[in-house]
Amino acid sequence: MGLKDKARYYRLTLHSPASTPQKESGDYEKKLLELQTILEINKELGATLQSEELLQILLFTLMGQFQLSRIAIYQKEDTYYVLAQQQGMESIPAKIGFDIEQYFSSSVVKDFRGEGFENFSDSLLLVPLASKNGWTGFLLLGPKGEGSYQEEDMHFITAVASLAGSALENAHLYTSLQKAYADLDQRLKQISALYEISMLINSSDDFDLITSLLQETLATGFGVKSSVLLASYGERMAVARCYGMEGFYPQQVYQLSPEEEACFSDNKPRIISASSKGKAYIFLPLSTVKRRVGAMLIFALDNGSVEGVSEDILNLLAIIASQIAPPLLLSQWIREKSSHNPFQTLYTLLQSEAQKAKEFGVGISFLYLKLNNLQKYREFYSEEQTLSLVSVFEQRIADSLPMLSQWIHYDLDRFLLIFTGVPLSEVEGHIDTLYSLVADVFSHQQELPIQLQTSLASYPDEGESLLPYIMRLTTMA
Amino acid sequence: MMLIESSLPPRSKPVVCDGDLEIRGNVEAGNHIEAKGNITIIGDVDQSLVFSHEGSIVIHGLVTGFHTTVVAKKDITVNSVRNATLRATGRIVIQYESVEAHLVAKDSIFCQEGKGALVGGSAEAGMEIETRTLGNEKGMFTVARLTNFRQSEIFLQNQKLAQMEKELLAQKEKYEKTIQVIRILGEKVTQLPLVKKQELALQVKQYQAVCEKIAQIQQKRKLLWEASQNQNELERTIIVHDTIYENVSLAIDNQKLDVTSRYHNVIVYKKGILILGDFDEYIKRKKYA
Repeated sequence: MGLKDKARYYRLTLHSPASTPQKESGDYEKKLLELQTILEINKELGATLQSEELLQILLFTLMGQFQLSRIAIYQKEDTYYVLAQQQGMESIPAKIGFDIEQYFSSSVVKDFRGEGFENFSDSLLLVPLASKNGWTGFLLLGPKGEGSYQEEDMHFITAVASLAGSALENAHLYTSLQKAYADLDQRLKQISALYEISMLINSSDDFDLITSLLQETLATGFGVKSSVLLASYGERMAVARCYGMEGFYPQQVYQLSPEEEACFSDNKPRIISASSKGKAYIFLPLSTVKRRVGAMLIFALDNGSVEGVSEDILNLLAIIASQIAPPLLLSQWIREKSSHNPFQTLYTLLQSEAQKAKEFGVGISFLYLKLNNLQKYREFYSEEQTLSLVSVFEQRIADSLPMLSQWIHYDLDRFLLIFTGVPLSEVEGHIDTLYSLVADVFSHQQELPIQLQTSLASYPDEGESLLPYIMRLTTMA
Repeated sequence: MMLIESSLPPRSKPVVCDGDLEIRGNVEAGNHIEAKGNITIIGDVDQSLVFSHEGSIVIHGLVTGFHTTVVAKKDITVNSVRNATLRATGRIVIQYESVEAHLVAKDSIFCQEGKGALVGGSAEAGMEIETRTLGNEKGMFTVARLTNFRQSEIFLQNQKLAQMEKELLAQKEKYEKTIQVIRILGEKVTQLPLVKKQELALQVKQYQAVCEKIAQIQQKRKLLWEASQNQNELERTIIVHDTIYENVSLAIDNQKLDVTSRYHNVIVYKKGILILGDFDEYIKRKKYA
């Protein structure tokens, strides 16, 4: 038998004494029946831990029990009582302050007409839903369908309210537990995702790729709309990458503020309030083994400004920072090594070119160039102008010799052009092009004419060892 | 066709022609002749540049001078050459003799008619050098070399493709890792703004395009590799019908052989090492093989 049927059955037996034999059995049986009904209601209330369902059960039970057409249930939420269920009480307020408790005792209040409830009839009841921790809510009951509330009704209502109060408290605890589990699960997922991403990032030694993956992680995973990545170059910081942020550009030098310096001291991200940059931002220091690698400045998120960012997000960002810093440092080192010491890799490069050539059954042609008088250019004109002309010359060489594999510029005026797989006779055919290039690029400096000196070598015709081929670059008179 | 009925005096105005060109006379020192089509010179060429962009060059006289360069997209045929440089993408045919010249032909060099002598300087061809004599009685240093130009071209094409493949693979790795990040953050993706979702979708599309390009390049490289293998199997030879003299340096690709005594009627070819053998015997073996 369902709850409503049960309630209807109870009502009939309680209020239609003439039609049932229980009338004659006296108060004892009536009490027994009341207890049985309360037991059934308790069973129903105990069958669920969902607040919503509990409130529905309570609502229908009382409606069925007393043929109510007006009823409302308020539930405690933060500092208010919020209207959770109502029937026939459309005009009552959606929430009421906590101060309502102080006007009433913890028992049923008859003829309640509190603030906001002035228009209700005299027979309105306010019934607190209490647990051992105090009120969890309260009920507002309109007039009974038949007759008025009797003493026994009041007992019944108090008993049901007491059961419902405890059940609601349990449901709340259950809901908070579920929420805590969900939060924990979410956190676990986030941390697992970050772990996987950090593994992915750690598998690369390419600085650009790492920074791009970091940016993607922040944009996709954290909804970062605009950010700036700083990279440390010795003692100074410079912009390495910008995302959705104007006013910053790559290589721009960045001066750390004392507040930002403080982030490096304890290696924790902070929200830096609006200052010279115009708006607040998250400063995420990237450092490892006490060495500064860089920093991330996050200016805007998809769901609003960074000011409202929770501690949880900051902690997750700190995890990212701790994971990203070591590979970023490594890739920075690799990049610095490869860009600042070309000679270190030249021998390895020649070996690999020779290997490729051998596999294919071809040789390598070397063309050595020396721009005589260029050293004097620096004194005669300026360092800047000389370097600019050399840079133009380099570009023109690359453009006009498509078969050029590699080249090295050494000591301002010397070049080694490496033609892997190109026969020497073919390279010879291009020397005239180089003479015209020199004449063209340096033509307007008549006072100090540049003369091109060339020399050729063919590998492996002139020996299998590669060192003499490199040495020849420095020994050209 | 442009026709010049007389000789070109020294240091004349450069002759530049859009089609074929014929000069009925000598080209004196300090001239510059350039034509898109074929060039025919019924006379000698001295200390000048002759350049055919798309055709062949035929010079009925003597080509002479250290500063003379004759360059043709197809073949070059000259009667005699002395000290000059000839470069042809096709063949070079010498009708009488070559002395102290620098000859480069991507296909072959033939010098069998007339005196049929390649003396001094260097002769470099891609497939074959065939001459009556190589070097001379006085032991003038002469170089005859076969360079696999076609193999070099294949190598360079392969290098270009390898470079493209490397760049595409780097792009692919970037996209792959970005897509992996997106996959890891899967749940978040549904909550992203439309613009960001479109950007991610574009990345996936670009990833697929890069994969396709890589597959195409790998296919091209495979074909090039096969072509290179076929090229290696071709037999390239230096044939001297009469005499090969002392002080001649022979080379096929990276292998060299310095000749220290005279041989007659020889063929030089490569089989792991450089072999200098009797031409008639070689032909006989080929015939019975």
